[in-house]
Amino acid sequence: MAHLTVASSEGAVSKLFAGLRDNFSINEADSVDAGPFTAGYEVAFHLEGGSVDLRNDGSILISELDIKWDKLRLYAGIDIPELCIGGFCIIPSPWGCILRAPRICIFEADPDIGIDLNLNGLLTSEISLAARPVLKYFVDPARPAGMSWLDAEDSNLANQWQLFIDPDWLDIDIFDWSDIVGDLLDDAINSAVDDLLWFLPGWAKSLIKAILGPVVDLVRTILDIGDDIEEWLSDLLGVSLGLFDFITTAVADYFAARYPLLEIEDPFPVMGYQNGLIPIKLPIRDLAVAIDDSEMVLTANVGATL
Amino acid sequence: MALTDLSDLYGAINEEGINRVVRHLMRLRPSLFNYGTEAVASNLELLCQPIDADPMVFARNNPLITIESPLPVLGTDGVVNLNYCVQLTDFKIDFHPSNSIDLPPELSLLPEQHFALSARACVGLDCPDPKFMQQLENALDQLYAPTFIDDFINPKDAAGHTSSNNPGKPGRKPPPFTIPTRKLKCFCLEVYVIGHMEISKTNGRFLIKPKLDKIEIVDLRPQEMEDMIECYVASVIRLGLLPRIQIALEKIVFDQMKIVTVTLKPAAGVPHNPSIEKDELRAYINMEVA
Repeated sequence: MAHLTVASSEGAVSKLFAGLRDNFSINEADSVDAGPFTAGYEVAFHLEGGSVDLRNDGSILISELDIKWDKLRLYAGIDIPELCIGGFCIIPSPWGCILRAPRICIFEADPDIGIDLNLNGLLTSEISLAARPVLKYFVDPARPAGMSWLDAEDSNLANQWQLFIDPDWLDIDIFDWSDIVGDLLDDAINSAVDDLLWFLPGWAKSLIKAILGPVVDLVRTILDIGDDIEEWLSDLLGVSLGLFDFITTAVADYFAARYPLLEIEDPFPVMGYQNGLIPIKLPIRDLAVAIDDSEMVLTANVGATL
Repeated sequence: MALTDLSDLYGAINEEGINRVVRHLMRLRPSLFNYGTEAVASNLELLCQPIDADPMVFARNNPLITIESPLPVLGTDGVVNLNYCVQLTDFKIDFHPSNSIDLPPELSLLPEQHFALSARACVGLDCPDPKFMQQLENALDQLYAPTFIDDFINPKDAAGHTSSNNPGKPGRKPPPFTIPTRKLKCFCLEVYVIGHMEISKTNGRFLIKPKLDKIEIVDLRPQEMEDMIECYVASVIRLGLLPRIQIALEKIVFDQMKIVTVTLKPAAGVPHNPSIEKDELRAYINMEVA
């Protein structure tokens, strides 16, 4: 029997997932100007919806997590050097040019040729994935052999237990048509009710919107059927269907294997330095994680020696 | 039944685990469990029990014992002092049901939701060598003025003047002096404690703390002396040790991007929280995510 047991209910995992989702956002913009070539992007998104489910096979299923693209603009351009023809003097005279040929310049703009793909606020993408936790023991390669645990602590080279999330499969719908259309329908209904039925009291407008809400949800559901089937098959087979999803799963595997979700220092710090007294740390051995449909359980032993 | 049926989070440590934690604590902070005079600290062979400390304690020159003032010999105005040491060793904890500590009859059975703790309290006190004691007596003769028989017949007058027959004057008080020690006389007592765990809120933080309920020192007589020593040891444990052993349920940051802060608090509606049962200490905790 393990010395230490820590368990987290599925509800707690859902709360944590919701906290991460609601607090996570990205807002990035950059551009390059390499002489005649310019390119840039503006990207901002936040996450909405989705659910997390612990399962008896030891995996975690995250379903239909929406990526709401608040900004998604890509642009690129080429500035071709200005080219002018004409303008020379046809009939010169001692008092100056009497007649000049017309001067025509092309490629005056900057950039002259460009594309600007602006999908701000229009696009919703959706992610579903199944993953399972994997624990690894990390020894910093910079830590010299034979270095004591305390010297390692002082040099920030302490060993670590690392918890990774290893994706079984990953399904990304760049265009989540059900939500894109659903959101457009929502906006259209809200505008129509507000504009055309402006004379109605607020509660009446809310009632009409509430009645039409299930219709929009039905549209969302119908449009999502194909995707749901694909996700169901992916889950059943344990692989990503579709070349794009296969590639993204490979990429996610690559990054997931490098960036741990959680790091637990070993030995684990209980009390830091106090008035020159060395810290109190506990060796953590046999760390293991198990998942069933009700909870995630982490177990460990306290080692006999540091 | 899931471990988290009553709360968001559940944590438990069993008695084998807690005993390893205590062992590491004793090896890494020996000065919490060993007390003595400076002479003892500089000559560890005087200790009643050798100290098993982690090699890093020696490597970093951490103290093995907490230095205390020597014990004054009563009647010497603090001039003569004795070396001593007090050591707490062999800590062992047994969560209910009791199966690894044999409690003395005075404590009878370990109640539900309680833990038992056993330890040895070893005390060493210097007993000066008889020859050295003789030298000290001679030296002290110079310190105090003798009392003449005449003083009993013609006591001090009202003004407090000494008898005219007493020509001696008290010597100048020498600085405090601790008798050099070659060996302490030691004895060890078996101490048994019954306690429980509580959660309380202090300065806005929830703390899980051990609390002492009963203490028993075995085979001491007379009873009044046993009671007095038990009272003192209980004070050491209550005021010196236990306040340093408390676990705070604080805010923790789960993810590396530090965008989620989780606040922990004890779960309400659990019959015993923290609970001591089936040889484990268990805590049921709810969380709020911000």
